[in-house]
Amino acid sequence: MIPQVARRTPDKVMRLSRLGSFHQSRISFMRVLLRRLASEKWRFDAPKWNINEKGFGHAVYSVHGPERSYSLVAFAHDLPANLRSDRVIAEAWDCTFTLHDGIPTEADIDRLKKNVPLQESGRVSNSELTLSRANRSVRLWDHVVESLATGNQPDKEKLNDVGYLMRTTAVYGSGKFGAADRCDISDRDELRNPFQVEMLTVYLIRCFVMDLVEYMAQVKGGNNAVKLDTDIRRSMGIGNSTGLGMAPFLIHHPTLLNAWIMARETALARVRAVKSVPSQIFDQMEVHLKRALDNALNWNSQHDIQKPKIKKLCEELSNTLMKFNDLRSEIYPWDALYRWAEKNTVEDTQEQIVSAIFEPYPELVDNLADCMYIDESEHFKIDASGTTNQLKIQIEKNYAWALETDYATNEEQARFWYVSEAKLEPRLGERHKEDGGDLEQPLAIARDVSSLYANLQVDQHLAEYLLANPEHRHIIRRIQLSNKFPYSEVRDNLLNSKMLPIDMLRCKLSFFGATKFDPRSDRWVRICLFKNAPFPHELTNADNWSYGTSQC
Amino acid sequence: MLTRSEVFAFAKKATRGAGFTWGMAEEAATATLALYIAGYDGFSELTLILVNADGKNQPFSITDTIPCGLTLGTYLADSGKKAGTEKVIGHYIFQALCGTLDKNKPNFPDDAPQIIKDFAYRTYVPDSEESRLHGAG
Repeated sequence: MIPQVARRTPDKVMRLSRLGSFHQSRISFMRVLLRRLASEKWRFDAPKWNINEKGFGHAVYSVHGPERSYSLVAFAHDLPANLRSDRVIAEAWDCTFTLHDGIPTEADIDRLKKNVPLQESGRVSNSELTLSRANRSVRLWDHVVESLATGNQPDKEKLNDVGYLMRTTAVYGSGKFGAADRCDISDRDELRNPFQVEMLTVYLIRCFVMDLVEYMAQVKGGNNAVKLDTDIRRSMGIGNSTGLGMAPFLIHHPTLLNAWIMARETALARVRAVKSVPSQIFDQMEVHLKRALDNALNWNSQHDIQKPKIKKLCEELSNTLMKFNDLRSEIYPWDALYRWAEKNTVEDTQEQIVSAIFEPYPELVDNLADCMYIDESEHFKIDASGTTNQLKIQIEKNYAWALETDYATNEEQARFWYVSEAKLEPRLGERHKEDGGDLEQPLAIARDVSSLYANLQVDQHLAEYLLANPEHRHIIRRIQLSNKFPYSEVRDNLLNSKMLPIDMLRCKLSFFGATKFDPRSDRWVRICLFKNAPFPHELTNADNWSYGTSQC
Repeated sequence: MLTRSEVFAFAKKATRGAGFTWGMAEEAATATLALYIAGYDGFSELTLILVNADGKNQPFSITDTIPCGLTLGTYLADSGKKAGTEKVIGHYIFQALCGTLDKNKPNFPDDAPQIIKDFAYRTYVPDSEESRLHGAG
């Protein structure tokens, strides 16, 4: 039994402001993927490069694990500038991709060529695991091609401001548009952890994009062209533009959310229970915190909410580094650091410190990544054998936060979640200004719990209550889940006028391993994935790249 | 061929679109998926239930002469009571809910029937000038 302190309570952790302050960590899915690729010595090759001198065509990048191979099939297109859009309503992209299960045949590639470039309007098969697309960061792309073609390296500052040459605008998996369902692949060791196919897709897209930019420079510059400097190349990630479509995910998957948070909170509880720390671990941690500070200093955002958050994070991480030497004489130093942070820093800094103290402890933390998957269908059935009084007790225990609110006010019911007819995507409406409130999605958790609670006047058998009151069925299912899975519920009113959807995005994206979280409004963000990650030929078992070894 | 997640999503939306609650829609979607996995035509079975429910006041009574199979099946599964030889609307959905289905080879459809799409369509909100102004995404 690994010693641990008490986990933080759901009331503390599951608030939007805290979830919206999470940072990537050792258990983030992209790091889990790269640790596996390295430890199992996966082989990489690029068997097909049919890209013409204008940069159009297709390429195949394959990876070979102990039991199976997977291939990214990439299509590069001629996209007129006026059609380049990151919005989900776009209909054409610079590049489109799919991750094929195995090695594609020529017939597969012909089939994919007719469908993948169409994205949502096309159809892949259950031999494909993801469907994705990306657009160039045009200014930067041209600068890099031009520089390399004339034998020069691109401007590091320009690159670092953006952090990527292409950004994806969706990576669809899990049965979308004909791709294999999650349950078709979740029994494979390498894909059991969440979002591994999506992360593998993006990792291979990054390889393709960096090869493509060097190829285009070579076409343009001929013998004068040079390759990207290794450090610069490594500092480039893949961008991602993500909006409201992702936000309800955490609400739609309560048991999965619990698994992720439980793993993170258990890791924290274990590390806080470390009694004594050798000086070389302190040294490692200090280096990591300095890199985290560098990362924050290079984290650009023009958004009114994010800018002051980053500034505060930088100030407080500097303070943390000053405090750091005092810790060396403490017993339970990480617990002391966490307690100090709770008293002296904001949530963003606290959560950066939480992620940071995982770094020197792979033996305490990494195996928790294997607990981040759950078969949600096993927990679908409502246990209706009890009574409504028992249900009432569960509500009082787990939803006191929801009962405190007066949902009769405009502000607490200002928003409603709906699915747009035009794009079939989740959207957020203003209840008192827009039509469609009657078609609200079941994401009004706090309000619906409160309304159920008010309706539970007489004790009766739950099965009878459900028969007579089916409008409460969806929320009763959640309440029962919450009783078994303490971190399954975001403990805030998702209809409130001040609710920030980007908090949900940040939480999910931190579990992906994203950095450079850059909100463009309160409902969509740009981020960077795999920035500083080793390329296939650079993979080692040292998982220490997350904030880079040096800033470019 | 539709995937499991597509079958589930269509069935859930369509059931909601026909006037059932979200919680019942989740049960219907799970049952419809179970039907395809067991080799039945899940959408046709679901359509019987949705057409019967469309435009009627809910919740349905389980003591109707021929009750709604989704309502009665869900109730029996909740209460732990055994299904008998009840005549219901949507017999196979009812059996899927009660766990009394004979299982065959999975047989997924190429697409959802138009009537299921039409019911699902009712759950979508058209874009408006107002929603665009508020930066819906």
